Amino acid sequence: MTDQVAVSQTGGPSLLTSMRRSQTFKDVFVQPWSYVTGAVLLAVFAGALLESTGRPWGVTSALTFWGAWAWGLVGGDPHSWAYFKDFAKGFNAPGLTILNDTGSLIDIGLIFGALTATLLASQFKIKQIKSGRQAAAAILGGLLMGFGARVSFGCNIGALFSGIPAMSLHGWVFMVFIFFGAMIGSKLLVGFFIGAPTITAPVPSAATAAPAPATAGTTGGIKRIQRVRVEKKENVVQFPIGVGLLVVLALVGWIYGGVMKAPVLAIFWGVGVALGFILQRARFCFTAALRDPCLTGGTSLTKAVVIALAVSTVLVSALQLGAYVKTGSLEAAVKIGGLAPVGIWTAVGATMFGIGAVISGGCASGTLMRVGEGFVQQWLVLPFFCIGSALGAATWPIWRDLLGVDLKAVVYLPNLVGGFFPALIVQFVLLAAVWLLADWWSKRPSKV
Amino acid sequence: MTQMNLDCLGEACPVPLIRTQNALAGLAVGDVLVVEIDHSCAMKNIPEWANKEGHNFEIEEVAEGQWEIIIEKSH
Repeated sequence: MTDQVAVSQTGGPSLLTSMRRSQTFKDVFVQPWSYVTGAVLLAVFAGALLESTGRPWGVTSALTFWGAWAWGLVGGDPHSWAYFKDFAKGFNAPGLTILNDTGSLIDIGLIFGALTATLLASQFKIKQIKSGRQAAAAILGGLLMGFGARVSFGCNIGALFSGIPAMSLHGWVFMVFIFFGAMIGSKLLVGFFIGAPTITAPVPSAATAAPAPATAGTTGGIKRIQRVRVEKKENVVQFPIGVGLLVVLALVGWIYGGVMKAPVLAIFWGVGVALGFILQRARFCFTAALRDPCLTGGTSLTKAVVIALAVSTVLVSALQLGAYVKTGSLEAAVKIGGLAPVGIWTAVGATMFGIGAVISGGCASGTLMRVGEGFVQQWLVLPFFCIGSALGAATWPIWRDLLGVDLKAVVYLPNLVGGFFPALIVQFVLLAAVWLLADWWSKRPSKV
Repeated sequence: MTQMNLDCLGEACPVPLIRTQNALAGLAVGDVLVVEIDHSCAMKNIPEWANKEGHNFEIEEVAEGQWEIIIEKSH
């Protein structure tokens, strides 16, 4: 014992510490990944989930359940809601709780995956909100996203990320109208929710030659920017907590898979953690992909989302093709992936969702990721997302009749264009067109 | 050369980037803008924008989950 202490005191940094200081560690766990890396990994994990469990990745159904359960806790009777009899029938499955609902597990896993990623990078911070306007935007955005997700039968994940690769028309309609909603949301954000004008306080310009290196940047051979540099102290607390949390998360997965013999729950849990980790590491933000083209002119995330959809299409259509070849009928293929009814309700719901995502600062997956990262704003968004979503479920008979919802109106592209392979071609041509449009948009002469 | 500070702590995307674009537009060539952020996506999208626009920039992590992005207006 005493020998070991002596070694660790005199033998320089411990193994873990020197590992943390290595460039490989920094590249993988500290520096953000490229958007494209995130896109490919998200597609692979979502594809693996579909392949192993037969279920596409979705986020908001569980949030509806959470809202409904909360309503039950305060004395309501969500089990009697028609929505859970007509559509989301799983809610009334006997013995269903937040701890054995696959949708809830993937969402909770996502939050903890993002938290772990942040801790391993030693970048966890509770990020306070600044103004009442921000809180108002969070509440309103959460409600709009929750309600919009119900009306459109999906969110940026369920409808867009899982729907489009399944060649469901509702995914494409959702994409068009979430863009439209994001444009409205951007106008609202700039007009009402940004708040006080930019405070630009001049500080005394003190140029000294402090040696601390910049974390990253392209100084491109030009002299270093002249300014005072403060060297950050190395945080020694967050990384061990992150490692500990990872062990706990693995243990939870093992309890589901090994002890409770419920491999499906373990898969949903594990994939949730992985997706949260990937989203955080790549800063993958669907909302930014939709909003940045019209707000800041950037389209790198838009292009990355298209790449994710293309990779996903390859994976999902391979599964569909397998089913098609096996049975010789498109009926079997259409059951694979996230198809949902399409109609005017898709447009209405997606528009609401787009507005909500932009003003609240994150979509469904983005909200969960940022809850894990410590954003107080998203801590506020999430409960209102659940409330909005439960409200959507509770009022289903009203908007069903108002918008004439037909649950059988599922449109599968191969049925629409007459064949599996023509549909696949249409799908890739559309994706390529969106990519090229985004690429052209970002290369326009800048206004700034 | 003037150095200006832009406090975007607690602001969510895309607000830090919009504020940066606006603030930089009001500066003269050679001026330096220090943007303080704690939004983990802004530490990626502000540098990306600065790079695209051809401004000289650096990122410094000043505390856990908090960064300063230093942009020198180059044109």
